[in-house]
Amino acid sequence: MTSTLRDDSEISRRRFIVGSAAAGGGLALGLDMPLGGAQAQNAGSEVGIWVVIRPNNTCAIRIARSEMGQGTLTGLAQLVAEELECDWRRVTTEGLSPGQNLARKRAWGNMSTGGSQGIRQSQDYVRRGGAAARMMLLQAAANEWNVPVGELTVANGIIRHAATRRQTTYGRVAPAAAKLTPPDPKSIKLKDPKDWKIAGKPAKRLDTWAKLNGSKVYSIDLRLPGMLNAAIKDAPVYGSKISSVDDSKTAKMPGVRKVVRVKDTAIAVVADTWWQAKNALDALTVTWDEGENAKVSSASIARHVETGLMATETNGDRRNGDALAAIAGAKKKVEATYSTPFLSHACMEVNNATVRITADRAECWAPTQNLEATLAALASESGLPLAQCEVHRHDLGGGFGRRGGTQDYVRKAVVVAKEFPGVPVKTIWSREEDQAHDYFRPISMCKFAAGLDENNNPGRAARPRVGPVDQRLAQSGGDGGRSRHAPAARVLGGARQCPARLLGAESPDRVRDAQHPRSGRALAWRQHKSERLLPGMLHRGGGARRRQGLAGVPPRLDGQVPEASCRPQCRSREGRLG
Amino acid sequence: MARLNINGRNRDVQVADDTPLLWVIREQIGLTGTKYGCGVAQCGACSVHINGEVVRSCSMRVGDVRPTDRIVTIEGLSRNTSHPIQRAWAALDVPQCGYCQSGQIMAAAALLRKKPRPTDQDIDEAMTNICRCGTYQRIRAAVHMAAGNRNGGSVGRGNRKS
Repeated sequence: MTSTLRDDSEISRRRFIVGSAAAGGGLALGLDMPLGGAQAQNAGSEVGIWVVIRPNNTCAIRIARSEMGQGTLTGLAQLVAEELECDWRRVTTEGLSPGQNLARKRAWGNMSTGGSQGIRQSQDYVRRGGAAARMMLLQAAANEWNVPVGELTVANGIIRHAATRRQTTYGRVAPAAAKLTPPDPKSIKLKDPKDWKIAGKPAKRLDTWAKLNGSKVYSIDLRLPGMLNAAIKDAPVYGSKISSVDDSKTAKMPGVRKVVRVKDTAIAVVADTWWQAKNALDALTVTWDEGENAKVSSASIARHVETGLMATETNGDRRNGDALAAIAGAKKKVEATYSTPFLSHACMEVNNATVRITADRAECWAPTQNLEATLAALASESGLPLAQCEVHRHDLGGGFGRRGGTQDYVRKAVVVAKEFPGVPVKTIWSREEDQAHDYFRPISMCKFAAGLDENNNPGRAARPRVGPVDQRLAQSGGDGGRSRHAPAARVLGGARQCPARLLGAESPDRVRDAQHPRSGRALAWRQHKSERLLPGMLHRGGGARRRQGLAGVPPRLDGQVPEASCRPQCRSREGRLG
Repeated sequence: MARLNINGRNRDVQVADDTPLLWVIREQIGLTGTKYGCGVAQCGACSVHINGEVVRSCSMRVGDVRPTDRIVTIEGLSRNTSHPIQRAWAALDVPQCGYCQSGQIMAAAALLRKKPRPTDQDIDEAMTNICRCGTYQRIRAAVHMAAGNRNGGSVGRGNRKS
């Protein structure tokens, strides 16, 4: 199979690391080989679906998830290598494309990478993939030697048969192993994690080297023959439409090829270079029909959120006991209000996508946390069937959730590229455009109230033992905030109440998931607020000095933030605590 | 039209004088290790050396660069990624997404040239580049390592061994 691999530098990296960090003398020589991209990659044998082994014993481990600095690429490789029993020093990685995944009936599973789920969701099946490859390699050796496979041992990619003192390597048996039928994944017994030597252990990242010398090619760095560049400006007010465009100045500017309306909500200029495109875009005069959202202001959003906070109705949240009554009857009352603003994800690599569309094929190069979502966006926007589309993988210059489910930037880049059939067009958002037209984390405000007993403990005033806490939340949606006038159109659900359960974790999600286009973002503010309330309560109350050991405090929160680190915040907030 | 000396080579480029040096390096010269981050000299992703001084190339007009000025980009910092800063960056696995790291490395290399034994304060003052992943602790530790500072500064968890 062909691979969209960009790991040629891996071996160079190894040579460099070995040479510079003195990690073992002879290794550098063994790996000193020029890799010629696809040619060298194809020289390997695919053993199962996750592992490709080359004659020189290099193990290329396939990666389906996106790498954006979080280290998933290395972590997944460790998991496969652990079961594979290969030589970790000879591991490289191969990125899979969504077109390959589609062609193989999603053999590599979900490619989406977000919410810290990349390892969690795939750790089981990638380990099974590594184990399957190991079993096939051992079987191939057993077949060759005509001995029972149970008599073989393997370590670091070297297979031994003690009785006959024979040994061979993965590289030698891989071609035969590749022809065997992989074992049923369910039948595979995985190692006990306590026996792990590679997985779960600190390891050097496999992808550092190219980040040190400028050789790593992010999507924004892509250069293709005949490529044009586009700069783009989104509607300054969310939901507004282009009313008129005066491109009389722009058309004559150097390098300019075309002014493109992107679905009446954005305007792009295509030029030979991006700097020319950006200058021309700045020279355009665009009139926008701003619509209702033009009336929305920071003050009106703040009013909305504050009003929501005061509302008394709940949204069907969990209700254990009567927190409000218990708090009203408590000896002392602690109250705190927290807020978070709209936040841009602000990836260092601004949004960009390169798209080339011909009559029967669409290709895209983009920083994406979900290659399959990008493929789907490419297909639907280009009008071509999925099977005629492909997305080329690039590691991201940051993701943070911006580039997973929301493929708006890819769709817009497709619209621009459609104007130039057969020509690759790279659309890059300027920093100011990227920042202003994010799918923002929502603005929110949250009020907690808790009752304390005569000993300043929060736990005794009412049932259940911990609590009572009244938590109310109001927020304004992130999607609506994509402009200088964040609109109220997407404003969310008013007051939130989570009585009688300290740090109740499940309730705030419900409304958000039902209505909010940016699910996932709520996690941050919820934890932030919950984490800040508890130390605040404790310091205020004084009786319970340590959160640890408080009955009913969820263990995962217990001690997560060192108490000492909370103190300055608590003091600064003192005035707001009732 | 401008003549630039980049990484020891003279390059003639056809480009308007007010084009930022960053975009000339990326688009006309084709060296993409120097990154676009903000365009207004705030983030430092575009840092290069001009005559040994670190410069944020997004905010320098190419017309203001003299043909005799020696421009060095990340690609020309060393042969085989062997600059002490690069080696320390590798040893401590400094980068996460890596996008800002060309600029970080160029800034750190310029710092070491001026102050071979920088203190924490020197590093904090010189290294104003933004890293969205937050690798600042490892950056500081790696600068100390490259400088040969023992016990220099506060070393974060990045100082792990594998």
